[in-house]
Amino acid sequence: MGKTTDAYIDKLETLKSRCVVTPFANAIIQARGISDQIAGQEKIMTERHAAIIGQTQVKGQLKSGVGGGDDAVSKDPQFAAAEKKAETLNEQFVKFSLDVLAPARKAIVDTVAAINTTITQFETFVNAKEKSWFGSKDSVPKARQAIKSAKEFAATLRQLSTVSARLSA
Amino acid sequence: MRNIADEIAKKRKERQAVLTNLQTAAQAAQAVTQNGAKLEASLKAAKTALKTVKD
Repeated sequence: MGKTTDAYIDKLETLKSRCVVTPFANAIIQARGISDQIAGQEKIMTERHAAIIGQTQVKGQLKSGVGGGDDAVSKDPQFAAAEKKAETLNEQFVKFSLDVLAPARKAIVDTVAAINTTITQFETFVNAKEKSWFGSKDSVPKARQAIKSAKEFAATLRQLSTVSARLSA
Repeated sequence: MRNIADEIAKKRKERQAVLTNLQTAAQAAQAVTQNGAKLEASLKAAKTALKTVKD
């Protein structure tokens, strides 16, 4: 049977390695890419809208949003094509956040709980053994530093979990 | 009856809110990575220091 201290340290290392945050770091880059494509389609829609409403207002026929002018814009082939592309991209945008980040978030939420339990157990163990380790001047401070680092790590994980919850709401 | 300008503005606002949350998540992920590196170093140092104890 191995040493208890090694077992706690190994467990914390394992739990730490389970926390894959790459999807969160990369998500903003991918999402911006999709968002820019949507903005491109919206630009076409806005330009067509302005052109068509401008023409109808000159003829004294329709006004935007009040006299059915925007319904006329909806029938414009260029506007309709851009709107369809924008809708498809928007579905990708929403689905992407949920599909990519939801599993990563679940893994983090599960791991935070396990890390907290291990930290508490390790800290209790160190407190109980502190006096008997007196002969080794580095052991207690280094163990306490590891516990402190683990608590700080768990705090940042909780923060990530809280922030990412807004994305799946 | 549609109001296209309002529809586009609303969708942009919703998208921007998601992007803001994603940016915050990316920053939080960076903090996790940084603290994860510190934790690794601390665990390694603790393991070495605790070699001298029997428990």
